[in-house]
Amino acid sequence: MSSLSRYLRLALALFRYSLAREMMFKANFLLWILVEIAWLSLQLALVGVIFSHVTEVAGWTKYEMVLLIGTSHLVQQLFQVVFLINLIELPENVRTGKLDFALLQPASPQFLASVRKYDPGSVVNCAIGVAFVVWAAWKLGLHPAAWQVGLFLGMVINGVFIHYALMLMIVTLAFWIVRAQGLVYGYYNLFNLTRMPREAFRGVARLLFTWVLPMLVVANFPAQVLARGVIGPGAPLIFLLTLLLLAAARAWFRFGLRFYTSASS
Amino acid sequence: MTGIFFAARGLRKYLRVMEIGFQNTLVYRWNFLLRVCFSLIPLMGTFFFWGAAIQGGGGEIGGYGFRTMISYFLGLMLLDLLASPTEDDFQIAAEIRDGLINQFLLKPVDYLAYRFSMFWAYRVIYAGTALLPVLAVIWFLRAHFTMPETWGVALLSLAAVFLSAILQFLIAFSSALLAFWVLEVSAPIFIIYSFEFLAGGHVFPLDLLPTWAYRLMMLTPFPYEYWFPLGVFLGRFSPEEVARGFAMQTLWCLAMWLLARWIWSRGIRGYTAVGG
Repeated sequence: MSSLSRYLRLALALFRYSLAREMMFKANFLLWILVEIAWLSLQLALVGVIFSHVTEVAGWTKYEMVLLIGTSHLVQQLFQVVFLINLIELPENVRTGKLDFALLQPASPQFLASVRKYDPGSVVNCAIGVAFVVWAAWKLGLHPAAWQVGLFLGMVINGVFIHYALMLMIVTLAFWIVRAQGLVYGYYNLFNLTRMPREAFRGVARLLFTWVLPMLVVANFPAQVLARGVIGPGAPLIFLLTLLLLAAARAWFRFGLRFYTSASS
Repeated sequence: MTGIFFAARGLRKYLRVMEIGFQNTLVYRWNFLLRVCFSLIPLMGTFFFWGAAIQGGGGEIGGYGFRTMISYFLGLMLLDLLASPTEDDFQIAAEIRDGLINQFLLKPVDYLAYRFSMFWAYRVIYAGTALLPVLAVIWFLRAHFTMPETWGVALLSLAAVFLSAILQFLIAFSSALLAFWVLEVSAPIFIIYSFEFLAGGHVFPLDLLPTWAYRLMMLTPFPYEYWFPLGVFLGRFSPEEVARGFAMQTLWCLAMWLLARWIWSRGIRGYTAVGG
């Protein structure tokens, strides 16, 4: 039995468990979906208002912006299905010593700490993101080729791992900072940028948020592939960059783990 | 005279509450600093995004040039610092959920007044911690920042900010009281936030909306949280509009205070303490 299939089976079991738990609180399940819809509506309202005054922003037209926002939402919600809750809980688990669960079981600590709980509700939100992408594509009269859709999906998954790597790096600080609520806030603020058109940014800022903290890559690149059939500059390098970020995050996490004092001593 | 004497004695305990609030919050000052530093990132996004949007409009959008727009969002940053509740609503909800309000039912301390005192304590510490970085950012972007034209406008802005703080607190307090009926109160609170942000002018200046939508939003209390104080600050209102705005802001404060008291009385009636 290969290690990968073992992890996949584990992940599936954890997903079924999370789904069962969520269904016990159906009203709560629906409410959180409503929360995401409310905040997505804000972003779309902004686009609606701006485009009632102008016809393009940094070269992006109205429905291209909707496609961008839909893509950004899709990536974020996909990240939320699998990883977000666990990384948000990491600081608390470190503080209380509950992280032991990840260390005492026969699987990688990073895997267990990252994939313990799922958020099935966010699957619905992903679907909503996809719906807006499809609607925008229809409005733009797009007929994307198979390679465009394939590359779009590949870049979306790449975007999820960018979210993951950066957020893991942020919450790893919890091994040293005791009161860590500000860290999660930091993640949300950082990824605020993913729904903005890359071309709006100039100079150092554009370079920084493309090649160091690649927020402007997460949704911009896949959206451009779908909407314009354009592959962003250095796109293959972006996949490489994500792998580098993941490796760096893993090393950083393992470094932080050395400072972890468990619940019982 | 004796009435005032007794009132003063009654109020003194809330000063003590504020002291406790200071002590509680001072521990979190590094967290506040972290939060403010992180919030500079979306500000950067705002700066570039609106720059591109205004360029797309040939240099102005809905009557806003780049400078006015950046001033709006810098002013918003300052307003949030001075007037927005940080964790008050979640703390209130937690106190209700965990039965910690029992002590307030037994002691001669009014819970709303207590939380109001705590709110001001938090504001002082938060603003004290984060004011310098925010002012540094404004200084850095001073080429894009419009100061109020006269001292009169500056004072009026401060008054509007003060009333906005009261209004924001009362709305947060009322929202948090949902904890009397709902176990998980974070989701409804976030939904209320989204309405506040949209109708309040936290996402974009409200007068970018078409007239019918603008009038609709102005029927709610939310514009008086952010849009009105910022509009006064940027001089976007006529004197009559300013006067009317202050009247409405005050009325909304009163209305939300009455609502808060009413929801509290309903909540307490059905309240069963857990443990405690």
